Amino acid sequence: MVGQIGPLVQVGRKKTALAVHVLGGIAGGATIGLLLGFGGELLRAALGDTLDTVFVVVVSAALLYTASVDLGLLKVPHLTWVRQTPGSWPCSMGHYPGIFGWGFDLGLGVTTRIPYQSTLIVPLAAFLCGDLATAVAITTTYGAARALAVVAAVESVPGDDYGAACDAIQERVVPLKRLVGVTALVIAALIMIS
Amino acid sequence: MARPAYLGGVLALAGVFGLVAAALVGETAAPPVGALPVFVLVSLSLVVGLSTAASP
Repeated sequence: MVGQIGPLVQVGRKKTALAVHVLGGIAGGATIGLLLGFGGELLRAALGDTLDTVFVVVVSAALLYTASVDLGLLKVPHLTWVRQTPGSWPCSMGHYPGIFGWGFDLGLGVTTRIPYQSTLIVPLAAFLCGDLATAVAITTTYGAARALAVVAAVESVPGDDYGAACDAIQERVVPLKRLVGVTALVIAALIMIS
Repeated sequence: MARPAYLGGVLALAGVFGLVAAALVGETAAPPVGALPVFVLVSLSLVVGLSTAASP
């Protein structure tokens, strides 16, 4: 991701481009949160307080499953798809709109490749919580965090050596996956005891 | 990878954003699922979001 977005921000003003990317991520996260939250509100209207039980059981079970996959305990095919944000967007939409669109697409969280199975919990929990504000908070945080991490990675690259940055990140994928898996396990436990 | 202070600052900003989002929802919206699940799910969003962006 850094290898693709990094060179993009070299065109025009770098800080503006990164700020636009973050705004896109926040907008994408908020948009999917509004959609899922509205769906969740409809589900709550249909199920009532039963949805709270469904939330605890389904989200906890899903967290245990995804954590097991991310930790490598369960050797099953990953639920994911191959789509990536089209690299042509900055050309076809214009530079800053394209970077905004890139952030928006990534902030949605469900339209591009899913590297960690625990990512799937974000939209699932946003939908099953049955509350618009909660759903928007969960997904907007995801969109903002994803965009801010790109900013941090791009800014920390010395010079324009984004290839070396990608190699450094590649070496940390397995520890990151374990970190996500352990976090998912802890959160499953917290939800079950809450 | 260099400039760890800058990196830490941006990541801390992401953390603050998540904590503020959780606090706002927990205090003002009285979420039906409870404040703790909202807080932990926002935390999960933070960890997953930060980690996903770092993936190749």
